[in-house]
Amino acid sequence: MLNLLSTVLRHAERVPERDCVRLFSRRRGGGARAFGQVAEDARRAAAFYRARGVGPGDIVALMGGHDVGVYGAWLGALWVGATPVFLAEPSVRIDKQTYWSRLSYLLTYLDAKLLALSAAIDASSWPIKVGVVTYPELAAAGPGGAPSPHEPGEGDRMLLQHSSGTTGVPKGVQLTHGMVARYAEVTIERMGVDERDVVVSWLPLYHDLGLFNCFIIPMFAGIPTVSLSTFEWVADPELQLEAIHEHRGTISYMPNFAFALLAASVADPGRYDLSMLRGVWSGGEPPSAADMLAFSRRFEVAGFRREALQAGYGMAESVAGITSSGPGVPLKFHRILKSAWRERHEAVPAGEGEPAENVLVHVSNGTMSRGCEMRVLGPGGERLPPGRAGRVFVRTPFLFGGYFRRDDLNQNLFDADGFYDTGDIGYLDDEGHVYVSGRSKDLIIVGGRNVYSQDVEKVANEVPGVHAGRTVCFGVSVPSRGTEGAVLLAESDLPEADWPALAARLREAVVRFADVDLADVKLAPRGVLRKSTAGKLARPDNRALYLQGRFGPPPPVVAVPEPGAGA
Amino acid sequence: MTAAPEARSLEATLALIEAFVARERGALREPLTPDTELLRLGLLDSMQLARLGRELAGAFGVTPPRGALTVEDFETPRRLWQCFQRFG
Repeated sequence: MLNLLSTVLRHAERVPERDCVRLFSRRRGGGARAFGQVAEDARRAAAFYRARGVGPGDIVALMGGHDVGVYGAWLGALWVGATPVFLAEPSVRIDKQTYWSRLSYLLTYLDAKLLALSAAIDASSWPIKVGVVTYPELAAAGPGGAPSPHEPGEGDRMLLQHSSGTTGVPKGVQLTHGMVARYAEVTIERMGVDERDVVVSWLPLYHDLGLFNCFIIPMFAGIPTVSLSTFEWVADPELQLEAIHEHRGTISYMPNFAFALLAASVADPGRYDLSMLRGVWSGGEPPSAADMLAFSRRFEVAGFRREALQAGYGMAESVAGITSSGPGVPLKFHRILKSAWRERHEAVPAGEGEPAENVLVHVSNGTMSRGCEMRVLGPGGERLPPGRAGRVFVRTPFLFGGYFRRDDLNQNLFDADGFYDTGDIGYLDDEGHVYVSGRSKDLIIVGGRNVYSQDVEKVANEVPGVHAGRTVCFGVSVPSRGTEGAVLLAESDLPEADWPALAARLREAVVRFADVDLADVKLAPRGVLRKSTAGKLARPDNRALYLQGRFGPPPPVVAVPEPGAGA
Repeated sequence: MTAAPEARSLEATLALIEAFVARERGALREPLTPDTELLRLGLLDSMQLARLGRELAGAFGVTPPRGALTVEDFETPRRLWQCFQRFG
């Protein structure tokens, strides 16, 4: 079995001077750590952890991924046999008390022994009971007390990966050393990663794509990652191109909205040389043909090659990506008949002569990676043939075994054949390409980030003036931004004149307590929102009413499907 | 080339931000003030920052150095205005 820590220690002997990580930041300056230094950092962190009594099976929480010190801090936990887990750092917007109480709860739930964090995060005033240590303190520890590296078994827990819901009991995906090793092996082969590659990433490490494809895989492969701060990237996405240009980046990953954003916001693409890029993978939200092609066209002048456009699909429950296109092969754009898709969810290839207005273009997420299987099931559990969309079930060599301390969820995770129900809707074409077209309705993906309807509704229900329990949140398409937006509808007993102020309070509360930007908020009098037969508010029904304009016109950025188009 | 002084006033900056938010969100409930908390009030989401930054750069006739702006700089119109004055 591949073992990450021993692999990194081998890189440290073989190529000690090679960059493991290089920060790309105009604000905080650069900084880099070579593999030799990362190994030494890890040894020192291990000595520190051991002195604090952290050992096999214990949990070490980490915070702050855009930092050269994170590598040693994280590997040091593996060194002593502990389980590292990344937690989200506070955002500038979220209410401090809410953040702290959520963090305290998480740390207690995890029974974390320590919280290791970037020195850029000031936790001195945080009311948490767990011991805090910074990455530089770990790296400064005397290496003398380091034990010999823990030799993990294939079935031993390696790490936890948390979903990003903000309320309710957390769902931590538990992954073993064996699962991660198999994922790395399959992915490195699939993406053709070799020693010439340089990964450029601004994805946070508490998300699966950032953690695996931009942190763990490069360490396995012994290649550098150029790391950008998510916060700096958001304010200036062009930094990513500058980093690729300056460090000859060959691989990057990002959600679809970033393709749209970069295509629209870069004034002078010709100043960059992007010819080294061999793969920019879309992941985390469904790829859009229009956005990906806009990106490709915009950066042609920078030497960007169309065949470098790539896409993949995956989920934390199966480590990360389980499909991929290419590399080196142009992404498949599947032209299908609009009518058949809308009437019966069937992807019927459109003939060459079909007028454009009758055609929909779906972007392939590639084909299944080695050893990974997918079944598409109909409403009665029957297998559907290629072209017919249904519920997506997967079985992979690195499928998780269950959520951390969630026996309530861990009973029926897999069907009789060992397939996992992803909750996504999609289809396979007759060449084995995977298309994911929708998902269970309570999840909204805003810019690659998962937003749960119930998190937003819970916050809204506590805002004075709202008729508690009478709120509903759902996703709508925001094509101009290449992603989805969250819409909130709420019933209120207040006079209509007070609604604008109430809507503003709702917006503010949802930002503060759930860190979600709403694309729209609409109020209605009591009794207007539709209930399902079970008496709960029905998200799809109310979404349809909203798109029909029953609560007033949606804002200009929201796409309203033409009549009869369906969901 | 930098823009004329009146295009770089706090008032003009505020008007530009207001027009941007109204265009993205639909009508504004009330006018913005220099200290309206754009991010905390949910008036501006993270995907709009870069585009607003570009519009401001155009209006001020400046090119902010790469990475000179971060999310915190978009907290209020006044803070954005102060940032863009520095770039002039």
